[in-house]
Amino acid sequence: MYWRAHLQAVRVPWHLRRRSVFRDNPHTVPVCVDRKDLPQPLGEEEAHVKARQRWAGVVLLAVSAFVIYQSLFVLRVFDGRQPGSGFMPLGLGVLLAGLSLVLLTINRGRDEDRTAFWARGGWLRPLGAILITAAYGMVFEWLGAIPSVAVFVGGWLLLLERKSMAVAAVTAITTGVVVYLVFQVALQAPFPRGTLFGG
Amino acid sequence: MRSIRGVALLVAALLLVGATAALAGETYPAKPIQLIVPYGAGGSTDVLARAISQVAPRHFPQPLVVVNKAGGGGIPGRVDVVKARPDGYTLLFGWGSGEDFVVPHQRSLPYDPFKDFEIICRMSVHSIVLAVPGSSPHKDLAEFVKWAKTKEYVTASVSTKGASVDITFLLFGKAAGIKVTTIPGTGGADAVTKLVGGHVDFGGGHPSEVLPHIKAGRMRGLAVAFEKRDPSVADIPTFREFGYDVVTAGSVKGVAAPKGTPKEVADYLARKFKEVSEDPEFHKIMKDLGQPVMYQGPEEYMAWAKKAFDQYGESIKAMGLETK
Amino acid sequence: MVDIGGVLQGFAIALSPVNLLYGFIGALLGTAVGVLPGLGPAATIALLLPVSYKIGSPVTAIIMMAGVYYGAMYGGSTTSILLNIPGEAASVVTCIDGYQMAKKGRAGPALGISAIGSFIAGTMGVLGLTLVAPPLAEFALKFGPPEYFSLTVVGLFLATYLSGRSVLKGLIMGLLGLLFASVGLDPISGAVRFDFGNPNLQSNIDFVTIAMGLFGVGEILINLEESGTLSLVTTKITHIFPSLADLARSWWAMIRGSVVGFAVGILPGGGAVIASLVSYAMEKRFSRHPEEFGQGAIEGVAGPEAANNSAATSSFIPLLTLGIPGNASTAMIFAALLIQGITPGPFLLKERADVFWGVVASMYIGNVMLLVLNLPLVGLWAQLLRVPYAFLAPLVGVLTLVGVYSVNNSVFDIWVMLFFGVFGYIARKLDFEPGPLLLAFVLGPIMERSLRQALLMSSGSFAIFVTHPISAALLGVGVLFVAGNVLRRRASQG
Repeated sequence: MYWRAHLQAVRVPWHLRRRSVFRDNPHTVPVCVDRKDLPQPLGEEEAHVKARQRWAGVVLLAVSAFVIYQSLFVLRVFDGRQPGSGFMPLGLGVLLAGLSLVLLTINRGRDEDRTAFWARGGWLRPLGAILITAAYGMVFEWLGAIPSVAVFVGGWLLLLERKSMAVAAVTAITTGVVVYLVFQVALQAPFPRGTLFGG
Repeated sequence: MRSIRGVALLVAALLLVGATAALAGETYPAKPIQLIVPYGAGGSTDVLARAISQVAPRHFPQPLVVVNKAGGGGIPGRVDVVKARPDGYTLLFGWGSGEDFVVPHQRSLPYDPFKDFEIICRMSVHSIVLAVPGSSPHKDLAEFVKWAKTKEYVTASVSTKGASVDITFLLFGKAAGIKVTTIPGTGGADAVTKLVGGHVDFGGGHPSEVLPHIKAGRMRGLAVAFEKRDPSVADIPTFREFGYDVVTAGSVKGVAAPKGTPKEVADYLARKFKEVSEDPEFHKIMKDLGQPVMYQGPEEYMAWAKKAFDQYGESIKAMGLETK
Repeated sequence: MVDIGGVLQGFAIALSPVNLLYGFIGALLGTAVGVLPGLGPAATIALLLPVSYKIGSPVTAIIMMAGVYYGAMYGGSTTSILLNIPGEAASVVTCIDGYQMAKKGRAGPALGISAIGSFIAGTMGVLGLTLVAPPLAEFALKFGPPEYFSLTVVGLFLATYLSGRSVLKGLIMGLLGLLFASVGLDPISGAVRFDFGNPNLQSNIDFVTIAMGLFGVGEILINLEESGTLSLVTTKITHIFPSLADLARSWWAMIRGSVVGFAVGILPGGGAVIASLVSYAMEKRFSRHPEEFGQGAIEGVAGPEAANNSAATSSFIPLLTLGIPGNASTAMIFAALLIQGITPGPFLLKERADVFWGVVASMYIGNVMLLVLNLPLVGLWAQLLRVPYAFLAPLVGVLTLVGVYSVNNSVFDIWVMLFFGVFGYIARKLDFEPGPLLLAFVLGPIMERSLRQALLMSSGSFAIFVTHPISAALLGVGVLFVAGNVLRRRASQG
């Protein structure tokens, strides 16, 4: 499917890769090509699958309905003869509803063939990243800024990139120290020290 | 399994490291004090706060750091201070402005200006000056009112909706019998720009905002809403001199701390700010800025503030601006 | 008309060793700040204010702060090109082609042309300042609410024009951007909108939060999908600097960008963003290879970069000649001058000519210094992209997380950023471009505020937008632009 497949190294599934720090293999280096640049439709097709565009249209329509409702019943559209807080949102909601309908209409009909929505590897890593970031947000006030940063980096490298404990720990602690030096010492940005440490 | 244990070890190690860095007991102030200014940089409140922080090192053992939290009409910045820890390291600068005396009469706020704060002191009061663009043919307020009466309405640029400037101009409109449409913007600087550009019929603001432009001839100050003439713009007559009883407390610049701040800390701050207000260098800077030094201690200020609050409340009721 | 004596005096001041040193420090700090997301130049200048008093001489202080301001512009372009994270609103346009160039291994030429373009723009800006500052400032004053409304409307049209393939999706993103901008307080009446009962949403969403989320986190999430991504660029980086061919292509783009930026940047509030948009649209129109735009056309970097730098220069004009600060950074400098007893305004030229000319000359020196500082760094930055993505991604993640927190000291902002990250991720998968959303988000509040202010002025009559000549002219340009665009698309399809 990648049209430059003949140039590629053997692709080991990411969860089975060896755990090592750097993996630059200069002889069989694949060119990282943006999906949009590929001549035929890897990226375009998966995006332009009509059913998905229709989903987008439906969501947008729902959003516009919410906005219109809020503008009409919660905010004031007119304040005397002047536009009120609801004026602009109402206009935007109506326009959005119109465009969502256009989107839905353009994408009506069946799809001939559907490519996967998720590239190989899938949604696992992005979801992992989202969860790790959420974890950061949750422990932030509890642990303080610097330990949270270290946990974030360490967790990321361990769980998403499958690096070894040693690598993850070293990078995490180094990052924490650097962030501390740059932001807290040099720039005097006020960061919480975490309720755990009496900050 | 391995990775979970690994993560747990990591976290434990970090906890250990962090715990050893905890601070022991301290005397106030042991670290820099934050002065939160709920407005943008360059505005009259901000500049005053910076002037204070410039003089402060001679009186405070720790620096006073000015932090701007602009936007939201001055509310979010105040909310930040209300929610901050009452340890004396986070102070609000600009307590006494429209958001504290005027807006509470018009809508409900997420905080109570009197109950949620420990009032420390007052540093200055900014009166409200009415001005017209330099190109305007009106030489004094009487001429202006005569002209305004011939028009269906006149436009005035004000800093934000419902602020002290807004109320003052509306009061003036009522007293003079002319219809005034106030046009709010993003703050004092924005209002001044509109006036200088001639996009509105009149406008104004605080002396420090209008003085440079008056000196340059781009604006002409017609009246000031104080009981007596404001020393920083001594040649501008008061509204009373023209027969209009338009007197407002203006915009008051005070210092406040979150409720629950220990009394020793509050007293210390009040004392230190008094020293700053008596510092000759501070006086010089204030004169350059066009802002008067008007210090008041906590009890006096509380009493005066309550009066100002009630006075605004009456004005608003009289004009029917109450929306609550 | 040109006060040669004053200019020479200014250079004499600016070239003194102390001033050069502080200018350099400012430039260095500014570049660092521009690269690090979250901490903006305004906040840095604020941090430097106490230092500026201790220096003693106001001229030196201003030179340092101006250095920070320009440095931040340069630095912001760096992250836009390397990581697709706009440092500030005026760098969003740079992301479009700059990042594409970087992914093709052409980060070096992109950064280089950006530095060169900014330098040329700065030079032309300073020239313009010396020659036409006062009359231009007077012209800027004529922009009142109706004019600002029309200007931002034109800007919004231009923003959706950048939307690549599908205009429909660009428009939808633009509308969403305008809606996100309405979350929080209404600019005129102060009423709260769309807060879902959460007090954190009562202050409007910050630019940094949405930019970091949409561009930073969103980009990382997309890249994570591709399990084969070893590093962002794995080809050998051969050309660090722009080639002569690159320079030849970009020459006119830089000149045009400088002129546009200078003219538009003088308008307080939002000038630089619109300048970069206008420049991009202009280059796309005049280019011999318009299809390359969006895929890494070097003019798409050179023009907007020149535009936003000369806009930064001309944003000083209202401050120095009228005493009206145009944006947060100039407002800080304004405060610094006031406290030192100097009142910027029409009298500055007469009373403190040394300050005025010193500042002007320092801008020029600052530009030279930044060029000298940045060109050697280009090679270093380009190598950054070769760091294995396994490490680069979490580090960029940390930068965005720390940066977004430092804006408001609010953990809630982290959640908002995460929301926009997921949003940006899904949007990209469905082929919706994030650029128009962010640009509409920036221009939206200005537009709504100006609209309502203008209607207050006219007591509800919409005629005011047409009776004011400048406003009418701008709207006319906008209409012509849209019409021309539609006709051209019809022609190319028909």
